Amino acid sequence: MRYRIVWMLRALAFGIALLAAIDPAITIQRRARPTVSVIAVDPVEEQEHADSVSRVLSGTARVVRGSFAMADATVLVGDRLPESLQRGATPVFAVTDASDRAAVRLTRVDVPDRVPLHASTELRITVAVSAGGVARGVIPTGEESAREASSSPRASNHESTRTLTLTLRHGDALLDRQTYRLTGRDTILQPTLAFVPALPGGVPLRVEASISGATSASSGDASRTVASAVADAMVTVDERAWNVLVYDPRPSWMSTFVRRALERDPRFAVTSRIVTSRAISTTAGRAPATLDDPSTLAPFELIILGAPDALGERDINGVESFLRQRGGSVVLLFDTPARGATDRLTGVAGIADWSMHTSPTALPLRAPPFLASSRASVSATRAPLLATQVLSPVNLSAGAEARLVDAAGRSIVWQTSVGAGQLLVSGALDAWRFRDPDTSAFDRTWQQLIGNAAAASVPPLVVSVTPNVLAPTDSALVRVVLRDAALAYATEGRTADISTDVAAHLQWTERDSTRREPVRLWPDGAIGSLRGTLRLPQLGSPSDDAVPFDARLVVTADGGQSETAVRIDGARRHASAEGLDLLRRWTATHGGSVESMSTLLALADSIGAVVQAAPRAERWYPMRSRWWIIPFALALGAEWWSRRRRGLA
Amino acid sequence: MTPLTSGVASDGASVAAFVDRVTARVTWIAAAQGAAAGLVLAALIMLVAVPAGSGSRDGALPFTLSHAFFPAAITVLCALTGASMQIARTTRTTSASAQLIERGAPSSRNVIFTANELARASADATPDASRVEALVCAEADRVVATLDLSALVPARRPLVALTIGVASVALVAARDSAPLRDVARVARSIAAPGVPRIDEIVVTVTPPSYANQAPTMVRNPSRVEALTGSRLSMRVLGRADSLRVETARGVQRVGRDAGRAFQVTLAAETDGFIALTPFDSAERDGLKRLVGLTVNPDHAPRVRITAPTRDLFVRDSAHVIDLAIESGDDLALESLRLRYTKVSGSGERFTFTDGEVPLALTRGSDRAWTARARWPLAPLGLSRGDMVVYRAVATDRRPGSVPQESDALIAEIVAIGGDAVAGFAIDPDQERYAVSQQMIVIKTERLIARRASMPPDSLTRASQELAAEQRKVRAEFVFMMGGELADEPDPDADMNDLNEEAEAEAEDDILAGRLENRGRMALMRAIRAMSRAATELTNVQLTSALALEKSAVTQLEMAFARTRILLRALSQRETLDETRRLTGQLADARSDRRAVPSAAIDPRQVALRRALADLADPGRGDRGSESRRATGSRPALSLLAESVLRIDPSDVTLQVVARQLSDASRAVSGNSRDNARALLDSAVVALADVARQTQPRAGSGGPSFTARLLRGAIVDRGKTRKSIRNGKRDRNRVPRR
Repeated sequence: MRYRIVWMLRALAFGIALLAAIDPAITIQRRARPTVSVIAVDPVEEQEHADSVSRVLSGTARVVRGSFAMADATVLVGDRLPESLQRGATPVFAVTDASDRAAVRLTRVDVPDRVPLHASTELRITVAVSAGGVARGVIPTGEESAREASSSPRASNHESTRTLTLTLRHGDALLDRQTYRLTGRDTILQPTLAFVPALPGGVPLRVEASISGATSASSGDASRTVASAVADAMVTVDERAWNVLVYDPRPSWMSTFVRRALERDPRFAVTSRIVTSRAISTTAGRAPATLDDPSTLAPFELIILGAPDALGERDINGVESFLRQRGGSVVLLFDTPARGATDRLTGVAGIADWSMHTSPTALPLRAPPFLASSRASVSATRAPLLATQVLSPVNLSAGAEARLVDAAGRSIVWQTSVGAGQLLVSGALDAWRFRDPDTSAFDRTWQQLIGNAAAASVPPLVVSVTPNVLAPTDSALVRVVLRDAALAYATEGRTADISTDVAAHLQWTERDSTRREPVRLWPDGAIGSLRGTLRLPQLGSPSDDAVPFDARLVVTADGGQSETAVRIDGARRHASAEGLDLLRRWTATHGGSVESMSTLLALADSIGAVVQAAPRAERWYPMRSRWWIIPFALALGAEWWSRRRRGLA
Repeated sequence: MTPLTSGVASDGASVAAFVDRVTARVTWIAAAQGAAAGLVLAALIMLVAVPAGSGSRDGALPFTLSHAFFPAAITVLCALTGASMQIARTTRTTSASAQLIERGAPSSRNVIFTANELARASADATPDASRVEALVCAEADRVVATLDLSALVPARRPLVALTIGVASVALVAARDSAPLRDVARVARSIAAPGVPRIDEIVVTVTPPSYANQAPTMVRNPSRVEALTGSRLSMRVLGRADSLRVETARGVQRVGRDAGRAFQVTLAAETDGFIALTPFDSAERDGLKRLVGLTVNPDHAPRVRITAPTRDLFVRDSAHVIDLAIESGDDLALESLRLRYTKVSGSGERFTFTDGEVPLALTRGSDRAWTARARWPLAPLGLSRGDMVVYRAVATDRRPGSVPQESDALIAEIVAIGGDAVAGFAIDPDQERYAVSQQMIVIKTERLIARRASMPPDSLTRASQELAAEQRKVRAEFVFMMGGELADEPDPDADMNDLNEEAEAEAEDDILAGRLENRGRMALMRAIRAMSRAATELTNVQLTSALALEKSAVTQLEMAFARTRILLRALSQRETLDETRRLTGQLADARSDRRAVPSAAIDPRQVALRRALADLADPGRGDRGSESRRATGSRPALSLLAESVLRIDPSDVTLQVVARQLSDASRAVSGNSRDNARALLDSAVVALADVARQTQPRAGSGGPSFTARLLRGAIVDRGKTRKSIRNGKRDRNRVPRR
């Protein structure tokens, strides 16, 4: 008996060794575990969440971190779609905690591409704030936490203790800060942040919105940040002065004092011609003798017409060409109720369409509420303009906007479009009489109004890069519009004699040497419009990916050149207009759903309910298990021990 | 237990006394605990509320009670409050004390408590009961005799707490004392040997002597406030061989004095700063210290006459005026007087005599004086029509200060038949142009229209009032002409009639030909017409007066016509520059070409932008750590603070920014980078706000090119529809015409 046991043990060991050497394969039909691709929308911010999701899913599925086209399902971790979502496996699920906690999203950051050096600029921010159902600032990292979160009571009475803080930074420097107290559950705010340029050149800016306040009923930590959002922007500070032509067909006090206000502002280079009598005029600079030749007006971004009632038809034709074919801006400064031939430009024709009002006392003219700045630098005690005689259209035509209105809401200074050009019309006939800085901001108002109009003038090369802050692996859309060609086609339908050479390249400095990367531009539908894709080549070293640096997109055409600042930053963040809503729609149309971090355990069930992995034939190699070593060793050991007990060798 | 038959009797008095002692001990221990807490609180308050370096504790200046009053008051108040609160919280009854004893001596088995109650109970007990009580008390006496009060109610911990409280207050109060400063100085020198540095700045502000204010001393200030003309004596201690002192006015180099300190004396004249940089013998500079300087001006005194408050018109010179005057100054008044000018005469020929009225002064303080006087007009010898113009005059003690006058008031002896004398009854600033000649015409026309319905007396009075107004208007023009016309005009006089007296006085002008112009003649005719109109109005001859008034208006229009609008041409012959009069030959007109004006960039804006750029990147060029690059080094921040203050030393916001930068500089040196970053953030935001206030606001740049074309197309479409509509409207109108 004992010998038989020894023999059996020996046979077992030999059998295991023999089978291991043969390595038999068995084909079976079975349901495999699904493969799930887990993608963190923001690899930095959402890392912990992605780890939690992977841990939860690892019990029921094979988890692949990152995009995997062969996966059975995709799980996005974050509150928005990835900026460059590749075609991934469906269905698509999303896991976010935005629906649980207070969330803030920068949906829009309006930053002009170029700002003048000698003026402050307001950045208009659109912030969407969601109060959230569960006021919870702690991000769960495991099942236990997730369970706690899912069973925590919903606290919704803490909105009043929360504040939204908006900051504008340049590097480490805080340039502006605004704080708002949140009172509603879901709010959309449109605050402004002030940017005061200090030096010319490209300036990277970062807008950050954060909600802070009490995070739970028992928490007394009022300063804890509950949610935050960041958006980067690049702005080019321009020191170049706008060329302005002041043309008075007869001397006009209104035009004279507006011109003097502009001459005190370094943003303007003022050329003027005041016709004092027939064939006699006072000029400053190279002012054209008449306005009927559009080629002489082309160098100017803006034309100010004093006493426009004295202009003739030929002058008006020239001005209209300047507006439509040059895309320039024109300011009409009326000083009498007579309007001459200008009705064709203003679109307000007929005496019945104009109204004239005279007041014994000076009427204050102010910006309409939708334009009034909450950060106005002009004192509230001073009106932007004062006037006793005002001329206004009875009704503003479509496309026209009021710039200054009186107390009755009449549009006294208003703006309209003429082709691609902008026309600013002032009916404050005697505003020049009220220039006392204590009561009226005459100079400042006209500097701002005309500065805005000049900035709206179309440059010869319109270049836009979207986005202009991008990671080394991102791509950006480049649009170029050749003004003269585009406007010649748009206004006259002319295509025959349009020919130009356009080139674009991205230029930056790398290790004390200048690198250039050409950007291909392609026609984009309309004549004069081109588009291209900006992609960064491989940088000098992998570490360069993380170091932000500035580059310039240089576009040349017809001897003209335009430079646009571009920021390369691996940690860039952009404003996102859609956010959670788009994520919900995307997952719904891709067969998935949006799950909450607080109900993370239900994610596996949701995936299992949707993903029906079909049974498939699988080859099984039973001897490839490491566990065979245990019976093999035990059998050999027992056989040796038994032999030793019996005194055998 | 002692047997009941021991025969020892006691009334429990000793037990009660022991319990009382325990109660007293509990009370003072509670007081000590409360006082200890109060003293710690007082130390904290003094640490926060009493800035270091204030006062005069180093012997350089006399120590005044005011310097010590606040800390002492805080200390006493907090200690008393704490003690009172703790005593109030403590139960101090004998019963509670007895319980306390029982807890401390459990072997007594409640006999002390019982004996205490028996000793304090009424004595109407039965004999048996008294015996039992005696036995209980005796047992209690025995137990009490074995007890140690200090062990029963220990006072060690309260005394330690009290000692800590006293020590805290003493330490805070003495934190500016010389020994502690020396200790800190030695510690700093050990921490950074060999680097020139400033350890301490003691600024003594000595106000000008006339201010009669005591000198003040501050230690290590970030800003010093001083009265104009004050002397700033700075004593700088530190490790350096020389000190560079930089102010808005210039730079000076100072060496050590015999006491191994640097003595700097400056005069406080305008807002600014004082930058101190230490240097060693090798000319290596150390960390710069910046002290802002705010100079408060010495305001002029204020004075006003509070009684009478209006002009007086009296019938004769026997009137006595009761005067009351108030005056005040921000520092100290020097004098208060009442000056008058007696005006005698009539028409345009007056005699002016100045004088002063004695006042009874009441000096409530150096800053506020009042004065009263009873001023009889009789000694002035005023006759009818004469007047006195009087005003109070005050001066302060500032040398060379300009005397400040109150509003001038008038006391007039009314002439017979006249309510007011032309030319003097009007407040020049208020009514000079209140009544014009045209208004006289209008009023006369209205009076003529109402004449039929008015009683004769009212008509006469109204007409005479108009005559007075006419004289006022006339007086204005008379003064403008120099006042040489006779008061009573001759109705028949002619312009060519010679007034020899006036002729002699104006002889120079006549010889120079300055009186020969049509404007002057028209004005003289207007004045004479006004005189005659006034006479007619006095005689209630309204119709003839109206004609004369209108004649005066016509003459005035001629006098002030455009061709002679320059009034200087009335009295001075000048060669006019015809090229500046927009006159000349049309054929000579030429176009003018001017240079393009270039806007002068505001240097303040440039400085603000430069400061913003530096603040946005304070660690530029710094090879240190990332956090150091974010906040900058201490010298860089100190330099930035100075540059910000240089922009406009009187700007309050910039002062705050400079102070924040100085604080950030100190925070950097103390390795408190987060605090420095927060201060830098506040400074940048404030500086950007200052820059934004003085700059125009730029727009957003307008819509995109495509959107612009679209908008233009929409507007063009609207114009087309409107023109079609207007055309239809016009066609519809044609048949109606």
